[in-house]
Amino acid sequence: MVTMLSLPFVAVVILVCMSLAAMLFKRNMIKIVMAVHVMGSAVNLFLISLGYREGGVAPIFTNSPGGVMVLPAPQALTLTSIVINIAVVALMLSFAVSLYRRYGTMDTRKMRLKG
Amino acid sequence: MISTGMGSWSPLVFLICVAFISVVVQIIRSLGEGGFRKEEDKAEAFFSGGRLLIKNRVMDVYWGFFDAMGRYYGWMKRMHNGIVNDYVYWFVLLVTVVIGVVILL
Amino acid sequence: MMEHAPALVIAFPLFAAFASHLIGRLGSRIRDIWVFASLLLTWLFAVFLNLEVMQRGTYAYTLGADISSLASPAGFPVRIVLVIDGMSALIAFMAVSVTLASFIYSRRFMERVSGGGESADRYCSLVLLFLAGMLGMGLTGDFFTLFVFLEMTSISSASLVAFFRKGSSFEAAFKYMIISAINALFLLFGIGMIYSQYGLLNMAAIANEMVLNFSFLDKVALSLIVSAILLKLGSVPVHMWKVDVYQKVPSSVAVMCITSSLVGIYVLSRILFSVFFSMSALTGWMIVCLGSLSIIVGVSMALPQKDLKRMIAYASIAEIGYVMLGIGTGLAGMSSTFGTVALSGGVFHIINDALDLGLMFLIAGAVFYATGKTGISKLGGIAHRSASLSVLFIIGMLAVSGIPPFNGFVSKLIMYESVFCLNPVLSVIGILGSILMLSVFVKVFASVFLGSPYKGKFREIPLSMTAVMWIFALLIILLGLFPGLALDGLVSPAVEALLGHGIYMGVII
Repeated sequence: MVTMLSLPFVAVVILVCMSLAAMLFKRNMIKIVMAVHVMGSAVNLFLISLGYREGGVAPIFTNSPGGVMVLPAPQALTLTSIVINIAVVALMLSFAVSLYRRYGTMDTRKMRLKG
Repeated sequence: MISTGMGSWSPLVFLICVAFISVVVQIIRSLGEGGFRKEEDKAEAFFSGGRLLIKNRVMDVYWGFFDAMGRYYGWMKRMHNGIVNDYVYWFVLLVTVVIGVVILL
Repeated sequence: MMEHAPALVIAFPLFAAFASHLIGRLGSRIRDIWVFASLLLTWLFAVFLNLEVMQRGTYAYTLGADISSLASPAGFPVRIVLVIDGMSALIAFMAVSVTLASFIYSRRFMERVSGGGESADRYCSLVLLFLAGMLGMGLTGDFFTLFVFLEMTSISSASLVAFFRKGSSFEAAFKYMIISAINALFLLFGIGMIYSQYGLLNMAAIANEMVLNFSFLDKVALSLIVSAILLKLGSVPVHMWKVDVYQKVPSSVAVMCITSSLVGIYVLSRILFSVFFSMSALTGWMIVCLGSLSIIVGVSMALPQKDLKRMIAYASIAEIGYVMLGIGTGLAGMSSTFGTVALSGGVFHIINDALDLGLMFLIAGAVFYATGKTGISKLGGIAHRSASLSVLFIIGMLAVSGIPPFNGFVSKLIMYESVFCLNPVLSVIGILGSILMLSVFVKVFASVFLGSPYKGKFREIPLSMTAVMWIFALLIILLGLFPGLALDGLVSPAVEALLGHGIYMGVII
């Protein structure tokens, strides 16, 4: 049964499948990098929605209004993971740019290391 | 002396055996014909039968093996085509197989 | 001070990595001394960890706690916990030693190849970051820190792959980065699945929860995590990135890349032995099958290669397959004698791999340094120009292919005779793989070292490079003649640590 709370997980599955499809079938290097980033966002969404509690407040103990809090650990994880993701994507884009300068093509099927 | 599951292994015993055998080999060798001369064909490698693809290079030394395993190597060459999409494809395949095996068994 | 050694051994190279860029402004000599001193200090910390483990047994270190040995003050672990046992201390020691050797080797090597200056600064800090990542992966006790350090190794090593700034090295780096990004995201996905059920990230605490209820979602998480780590260490269906990377990375870093995939093996065995041990029969068979596939494919693909480093890379895939064979048999026969023996063979082979393949890559680097080429058919007659290089190659070749008086033989023999009890076919595959491996290297030896004297320009190989290679060779001979040293001193505590999941959980809970 799909309730409101399980919607984010459905979105996660759709995003992961989309990014995998892009990685498998797209030839353009930039599109593959985009797919990696989409997958990273999907995993981040997964982590965030794991920690969500309905009607929860931000997990800050001082001056808290009381009641349910969302879990703090996934938020810390997601923050770290976002930063790492940015670094990875930036590095990949720089490789793609340098590769384009050397080879003059963005096509992954024109790769030369094989065998 | 180390026990290796079903047997044991001692490098020192091995070295003593090697020393002993090499002494025996030297003795046998010293009994041999002294007047051997390297003539034209005696020192050449002998290849028998079939097509000879070798171009007298060390790189081609296993040409028979590659010839016999031609289909395997053709398949392997197609597998290692160096395209990043296919690397991802193999990973997705691995994940699916592993999930299938772990869940079904 | 020394009680904080587990944290310092990771923190120090991390600090030195960023400091080396600043210190590089003062002059390349001062920077080299700085990097060398910090590596030496890290090495001493790693040695200290090993001694400490021998005395105290497995222990935990909690980052930021008042009492560092108290891992779970509220009944469950709340902070980042490092767990130091025989296996992780061994891995940390290996990683630091290899990096130290590779740095000594690389000083003259990189000077010649990259021209020094700014790029040498970058090289030093990336190498130190790479080391910090490997140490973190080796010592960490929780899943999320594992993910962070995994990404750290991938980012720093990908930058090192692209170090030569050629088209093909950017290509290898791009492929590597895509692969390792996917790998890390799948790992994180699996970690999230586990977190969703137990609200825990610490491996030992999760293992403790899993003893009672092992759910369907745990199985999915297990498969995601295991396949992500298999990708990281380059097991067969997902090994192609590894060859590209090893071909293009500078040889001194290739040695560290070998070590990082061995650290990957460690992480795999840690997760399978200490966390998911209730699935050990199934996962063990899986690892065994993939390992034997790695041996077959790795060795048979090494045969037709035309580039020296690419060929050694395929050989390294096969050698990783041997380690997987040993560790998988250890998993599948977890409570039996042959399982323990096979596991000790696998762990011993981890050390031997780092030495043997490390030596091969260093020799390939030395050949490249001297001639500027790595293509096998373009080389020939090196033995006439450098006799010591060819002696080293013979030692490395015999050790890699498991020929008696050298170390590779001992660990392989232990594995053949214990894997036999699981299934005789596995031993056959192992022996066949070794024979083919020898044939690969004999061909390479004949075509690179023998023949008419090398005619091109041949640069003299500096003492620092030769010395490092001879240290590797002497260690190979030493471990071959006295395997008991390593088996009793390093391997058996590691095997005990892997098999004793009760102790591992007891340290945290």
